Amino acid sequence: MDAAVEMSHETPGDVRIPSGVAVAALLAAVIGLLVLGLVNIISAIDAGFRTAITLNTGIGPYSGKEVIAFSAWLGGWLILHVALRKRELNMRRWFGVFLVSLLVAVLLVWPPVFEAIAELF
Amino acid sequence: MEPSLATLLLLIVGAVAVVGLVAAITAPPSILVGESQWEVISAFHGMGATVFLLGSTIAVYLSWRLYTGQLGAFKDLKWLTAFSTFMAGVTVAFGNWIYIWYRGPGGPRAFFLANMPEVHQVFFEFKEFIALFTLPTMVASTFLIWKYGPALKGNPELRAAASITFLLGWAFLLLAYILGAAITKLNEVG
Repeated sequence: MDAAVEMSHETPGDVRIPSGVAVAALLAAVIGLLVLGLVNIISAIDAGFRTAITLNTGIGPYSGKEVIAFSAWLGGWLILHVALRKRELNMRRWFGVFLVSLLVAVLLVWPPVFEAIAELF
Repeated sequence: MEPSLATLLLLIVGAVAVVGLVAAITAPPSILVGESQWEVISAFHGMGATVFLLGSTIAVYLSWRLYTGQLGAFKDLKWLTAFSTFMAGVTVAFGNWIYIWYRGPGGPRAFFLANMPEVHQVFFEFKEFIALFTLPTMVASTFLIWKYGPALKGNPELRAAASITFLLGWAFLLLAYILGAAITKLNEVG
């Protein structure tokens, strides 16, 4: 177990909740947003993919981007929750991973950045 | 000193009521909102975002109190973060709906691409994505606050994770709100 492991967190009913539950929720959120950025880049590169993810003609490929990103988020949360719910993790470290990943996700949806990446392919 | 939940609710309802009253007595609804389907949807999107901004701004203050370990009104924070998360979902849903009009024939996208392509290619494209960031970040923060409950107060790292994540969700909302308002100003819903 990690040397910097935290104590479990007691709720009023004295039910201990390991920090893995919190890490799973945070990582799942940022995974969904990173997937959104990646799907958006692939959509900018590949017209076939763009057509395939057009689930609603009204809002175009944005519909597929949302469905894929939210599926990655919620599906990832389920998997991570099951995997981490009993583990004590270093909250400081994993929250740092979350913040850095969130910054990357923001950059991936900033048009000058994602268009520059798309132009490389 | 922290206000009670009843005071907070009264403040939010009062603020919305004052804005509504001023709007209602200064402009007839058909002029204020408009009569087309898209104008009504756009009004709900904008009003939803405004209520979302009001509620989440108060929650940000309480989150700051949580971060510094000085929060007493934990129940208020719980309900305001839950309300903000709900409003994030509502605003995103109406945003999707009005996006149909934005992309449609004669909609703002065609106007911007013909006259100000950078408005669509940079600001609108960024807005449509950054608005989605509010939902997972606020859900994650709200989940932490509800799941760990008052036990959060005894754990500085966990309460920092919950409060900073909520603050980031609020920052994403603010960005989307400002960009949305600017776009509407440049090409109003018709």
